[in-house]
Order: sequence, then C-alpha cells, then structure tokens
Amino acid sequence: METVTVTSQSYLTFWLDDELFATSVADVSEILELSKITKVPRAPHFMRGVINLRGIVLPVVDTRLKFGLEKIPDTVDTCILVLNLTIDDQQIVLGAIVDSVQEVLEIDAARIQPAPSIGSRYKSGFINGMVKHHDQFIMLLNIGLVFSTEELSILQNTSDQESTTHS
Amino acid sequence: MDHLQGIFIAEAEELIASLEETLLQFDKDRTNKTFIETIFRSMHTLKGSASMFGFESLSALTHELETVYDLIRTGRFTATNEVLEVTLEAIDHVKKIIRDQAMQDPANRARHETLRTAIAGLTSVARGQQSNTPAGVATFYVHCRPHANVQLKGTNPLYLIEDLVSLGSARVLPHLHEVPPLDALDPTGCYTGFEVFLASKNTLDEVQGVFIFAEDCCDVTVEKIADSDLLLVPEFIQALDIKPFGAAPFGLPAIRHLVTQALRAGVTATAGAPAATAPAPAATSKNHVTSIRVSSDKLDELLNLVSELVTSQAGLTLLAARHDVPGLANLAENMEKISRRLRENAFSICLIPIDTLVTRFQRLVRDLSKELGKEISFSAEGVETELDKSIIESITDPILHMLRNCIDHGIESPAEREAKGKPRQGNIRMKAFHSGTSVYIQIADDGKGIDAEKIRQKAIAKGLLLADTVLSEKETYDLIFKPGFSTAEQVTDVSGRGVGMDIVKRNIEAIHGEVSIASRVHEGTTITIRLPLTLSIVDGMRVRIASSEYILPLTAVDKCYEIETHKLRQEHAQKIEFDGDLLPVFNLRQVFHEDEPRPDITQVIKVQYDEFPVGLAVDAVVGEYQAVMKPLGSFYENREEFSGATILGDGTVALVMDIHKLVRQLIDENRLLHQH
Repeated sequence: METVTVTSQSYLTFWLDDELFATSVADVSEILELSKITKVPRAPHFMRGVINLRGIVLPVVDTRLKFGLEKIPDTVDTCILVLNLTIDDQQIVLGAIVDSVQEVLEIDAARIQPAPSIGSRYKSGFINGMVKHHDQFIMLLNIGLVFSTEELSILQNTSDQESTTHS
Repeated sequence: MDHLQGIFIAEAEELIASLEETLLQFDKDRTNKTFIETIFRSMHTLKGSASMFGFESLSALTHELETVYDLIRTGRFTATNEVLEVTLEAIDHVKKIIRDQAMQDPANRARHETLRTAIAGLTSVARGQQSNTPAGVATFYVHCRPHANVQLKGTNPLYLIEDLVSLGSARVLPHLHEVPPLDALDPTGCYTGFEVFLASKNTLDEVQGVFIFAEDCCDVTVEKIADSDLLLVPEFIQALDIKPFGAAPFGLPAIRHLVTQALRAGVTATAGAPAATAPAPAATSKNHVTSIRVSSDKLDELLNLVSELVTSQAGLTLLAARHDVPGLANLAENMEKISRRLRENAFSICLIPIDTLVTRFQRLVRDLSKELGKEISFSAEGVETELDKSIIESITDPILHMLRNCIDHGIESPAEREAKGKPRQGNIRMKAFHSGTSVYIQIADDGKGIDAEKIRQKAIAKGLLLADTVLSEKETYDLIFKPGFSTAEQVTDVSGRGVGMDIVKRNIEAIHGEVSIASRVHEGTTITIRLPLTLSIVDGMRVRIASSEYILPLTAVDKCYEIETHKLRQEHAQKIEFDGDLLPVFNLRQVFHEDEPRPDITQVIKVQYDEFPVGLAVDAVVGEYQAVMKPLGSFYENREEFSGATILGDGTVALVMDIHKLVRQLIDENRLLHQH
C-alpha cells in the first residue's frame, strides 16, 4: 500500500576555514593523508601540484584558494579528498585539499533548504542547498561545477585581490 | 566460422593493401617482372583463400583478374593503362565486397557485373594478341658433394660449377662445414660441397648432363624445384642468404619447404617494405617463421607491464643505494640493464615504418589529381623512419587532409603551370626524418604557394585578427590553423569547407606534436609536422630546481656546465659565455618562481633548440632516469612546457619537460619583456 521513496542521501562533510561543507559521497572515492605534492610551475595558484596515487598522476587543488580563502599552513588534519567527477562528459579524477573531514551524514532531502540567493558568501550555482545540523549550517556543494569553472574564485562580490595578486 | 572469416578478412585486407602498393609501383615501372609476379601471386592467394572461406563472388572476380595477370606474366599480353585502371577499380570493389559478400548493396552488385565485363573484355583482347615468347624458365636445385679424392682423379669441381652457371642465372652456396682445422687438412683433398640454385631454360636432363663425367667422383642430386624463376623471388633469396657458410647443406626436403614458403611469403609480406625484422638464422630452415601476427591489445598490455617494471626497478635501485646489502647493488644494476633492454625491445616492436602509410597517400594523389585534371607526381623520402603505432594511427587522417589541400589548392592546373613557366607536372614530396627527440614529416609542393598578405586580409575580414596587429611571417601562416579559417576562394568537394586545418592542428597537438607552414608565392608550400618519437617512455636526465625534481629528455641534452651561482643574474634570461660562445641561458629557478635559498653552484644544461643551442640553469643534476610518461590531466593541459609526469623510485612525482615547447615559450615571453 505504502510507496516508499528513498529521499535521503549520504554526504561527506568537511571544514574549510570556519564553514562546514558537504558533498555527496558518490563523488568521493577516497580520502588521503597529505603526502609530498609536486609543484607544477606556472600553473594557476589554486593548483597545488600533482601526487602519485598508486601509479596515477593526480592533480591536486587547494580548495581554500579555489574558494577564495587565504592560504594557511597545512596541519595534521589537512587531507586530500579524491573526487571522481564527470565534467563535460569527461571522467575526471582530482584531489581536493580540505582543512579536515568531519563525518558521513545521512541527509533527508526534505531537510534541505534552498541556498539564500542574497547575503550568501558564495556565487549562486555553486551551493545546491543548506542543511542545519547540530546548530551548524552545512553547505551542500555542487562540486562538479566548483571544479569545472574557469573562475578563479567562487566567492561572491569579493575584491579581485586573489586574481590580481597572481597574474 | 565467423572467427575464421574474421581472420580471412584481416589477412585479405593485408593482401589487398600490398597488392595495391605493388600495383602503384608497377604503374611507374611497367617493365619490372618482379612486380607482375608479386601481383599475380597476391591474386592467386587471395583467390584461393576466398574460395576456401566461402567468399565465392570474391574468388570468381580475383580468378578473372589473375587470368589477366597470368597472361601478362607469361608475356602474352601487355599491361596497358586500361588494365591498371580496371585492376585498381576491381581492388576497390574487392575491399567493399569483402564486408558485403552477399552483395546486399545493389551498388556493389551492379559494379560487380560491370567489372566482370571489363575484365572479360581485357582477357579477350589478350587472347587475341599473338604470343611469341614461350619462356619456360624453371629453377633447379643441384647439390654436389665431390668425394675427398676428386682432385686426384683429375676433376676440378670449380669447372663443374662454372659449367652449371653458364646454363642460366645461378646462386651458388658453398658448404665449408667439413673443412678440418689447418693442421689436419690434406691439401690435395676436397672438403667442400656446394648447392646451386639454377634458373635456366634447359631441361632437367641437360642440367644433369653437366655431371656426366663426374658421376663416379661426386654425390650429385639434381632436382627441378619450381616452374618459375625463384631467383627473382626476394623472399627465397633472403631465406638462402641467412644461412652461414659454415652450415650444413639445406638438403632437398628443406629446400622444397623453403620454396613453398617463399612463394607464399612473397604474397603476404608487403612487397617493397624493408626487411625490418631480419629473420633469425635458424640452424635448420624447417620452422622458418619470419613474423607473426599479434593483436595490438597484447602489445599495449606488454608496454604497460614494461612501464610498471621500469617504475618498480627504479624503486629497487633506490633501495639498493640506501641499504648496504652485499650483492644488492649489483643485482639492482643488472636489473636496470635488463629492464632497459626489455624496454627498448618492447618499444621497437611497436614501431612501424611510415612506409605503411605511403600507399594510401600515393593512391590519393593518383586518384584525386586525375579527378581534378591535374598532373602530379608524388614521391616519398625517408619512408623507413619509424614511429609508434599509435602515433602513425593518429597522423594518417591529418596528412591525408593536408595532401588533399596540396592537390586541390596548392598545385595549379597544367595549363596554368605552363603559363608560369613551370613544368606541366606538379610535384608533391613527402620527407620523413629523425632529429633529436622528434620525427619530422614534411610535405612540400611546388604549387602556387600561399600569399601571406591574403591570409592577413582574410583573417582581418573574418575577425580573427585586429587590423593593426603586427605579425611575423610565421605567425601569419599560423593563422591558417585557426578555427573557421579557409583560404579557398571557392568551396570544392575536396577541401575548403573551413574546417580542417584547425582540426589537423588539434589532432597533431593531441599527440604532443606540432605543425607549421612555410610558403613562397608561385614556388610552393611546405608543411612540417614535428612528432615525438614515442609517447610512453623517455630516457631522461633528472635535475633538481629548489625542492622539485624534473626530467629533461636525454636526447635533447648536449652538455652540462657548472658555474658559481653569484655569476648568474636573477633574471629570466641572460647570455653567458661557455667554451668561447655566448649561450642564451634561461634561469629556470626564476622562471618557475622558486624563491628558496640558492645553492652555491648552479648547473647550466646546454640543450638543442631548433637551430641554436640554449642553456637551462638548474640547481643540480641528479642522474639519469627512464621516465614512464603519465599524463598530467586536463587540469594542466595548458602547461605545454611539461609533456607529462613520471613517478620516481621513492614514489614522488617528477615533471617531464618538453624542452622544445618550454624554450619556445621562454623566447616568446622574453621578446615580450623586451618590447615593454
């Protein structure tokens, strides 16, 4: 009699600065400790370099810089999310450096609130929605868009300092 | 059965390709008998296997063609243009019906009938021609082992050979395997036997007659082994030539085997291709396999395994250097040598000479120039130059496209050429050669050339260029590769839809190649393609800049110099004197924005860039490294100065520099710096 629709999905949450973000676990294939990253000279500043992932050369993005946050020294909690994304019909594997990972959460679709279009720090489109969890707002990221965008920062209306310091 | 038919199709396509190639060669040199023989044999094999696998229509058609070539072969008919035309058409047709043997496509069926009539027409003409050469050359095998005391009986075996050779053309193989060491040698004794392959019009009896007075002092075998002149079959000669002088005689059974094999091999082997894989000298020529067919998947797998081995081996070397275990260093060194050889071997397997493409190009030039009413000759130089099979696959279409452009737009019509005082016949030359880490392929025509000014105007008109931009000649010609650019004033069937050259460029860049154009109005256009030798492993020099390691392809490295760091200015580029010459030096530390403390000594590596040498300043030279190339991925696709990355023995990643592109970028950047 009853029709049950699966409306909840698993999300991985992680910290960047003082904000908690979440991405669907389907996009994350593994979490790595920070290892030696080989710099690629003359690449965009948010591209930290490449690492060896079991014989595959994996590009690594400094998510803080991509998000327009300031650069901080790496800590023991700093880690790399290995993301498996489909961008423009292309399967792309990349590493995203985040401050720390928090947990895997089951989030009910009904609890997701739309991202505020006004007053948000981030440009619309990059945030799929928000969820309140233990008094903390979690930003659900459209991670494919974040890493396929040509834009240097996804911050809304910030000064262009990030792009000017680097060109 | 499907599987077997698949094999047949693969084999037949190879046969057809070689047949086509030989036909085109024959077209140029109609007197060459070897070509006719090869053509005839190819057709014969094709016919045989087609009927065996149930391709009846194909078999019937080739049978009729074979008849024509049999007539030509025996001198009862001459190969006219018409014959060649029909044959080439028939071969195109065969290519189609091999995949549509029931001829469900009505077009195929119709053409099939037309062709059969055309071929039948040829045969009836041929039968009408009077034949006057009943040439019946046969090949005989003579094995003669004079008894040890033959000379005491007054017979000189050498005279026997001379008599034999005078009967026709011959090949004599001496057998020295019984010759004893000098101290045991009896100077009056005869230790040598010989085998003679004689192509002669004489009968068996006449050949045997040579030995009539020597029968009691020699063991003689005379046997007819073929009804044709085997000495004209290169495969047969090759099989004979690989035998060392000291070896025992072939013996009749082995020879018979060789004959059938040579005749068969003559068909499958691509005629005219260089004997790239020299057959190993087999002690007995029984299982004489010169090449085998391997699926390319297996080769790819082999290369992957070799790459993994090379990477693991680097780990082993590192481990051996760190731990002082007796014998380990030796073992690691040995492993390194073996893996290097294995690597070279595996890669050479995957190299294909450019030759394999030439037939397609020749065919295109021939057909298209006829269609457009132009007279064009096509020549290819350096076709033995080898490239990785994956590279060959990716450059075929771009080159075909460029050739089409040459024929359609480059070469003028005969009348136009005569008016300009040029020979009626246009010329397209393809030239392939090695230089450093690259292979170059040049396609040059002597057509009307491209007017740089016209390109400029057109680019401006199309909005690709601002009217006041100053461009060098090279930059102007590069505009041709911009998307949406086509110089043809009229769009023709053949080329000039405005798509093409940009795709050509993109395809070539996808395999780390480059393409450029140079042209002189009324003199012609030259297109140069630069391609990397192989995509997967490079021999490199490992260098360090600040805390990162890089690989420079060893083939580009010329020499290393040491200088004190304080003599190097903190600039991107400067000129420093080495060995009495001023060398432009790029300080990679500066270029890569590394600001860690500098070491006291800096290494300057002299590399070859295009026509002049350039120095690259790095912190240290670490050593040699076999770099297994890994792609950097789409996030770094704009970083052209790095052709990829490799994994070092300790598991970290090092970037592999594309010296050519890096230096070119640096030169461009510095030109800009000086302009400002």
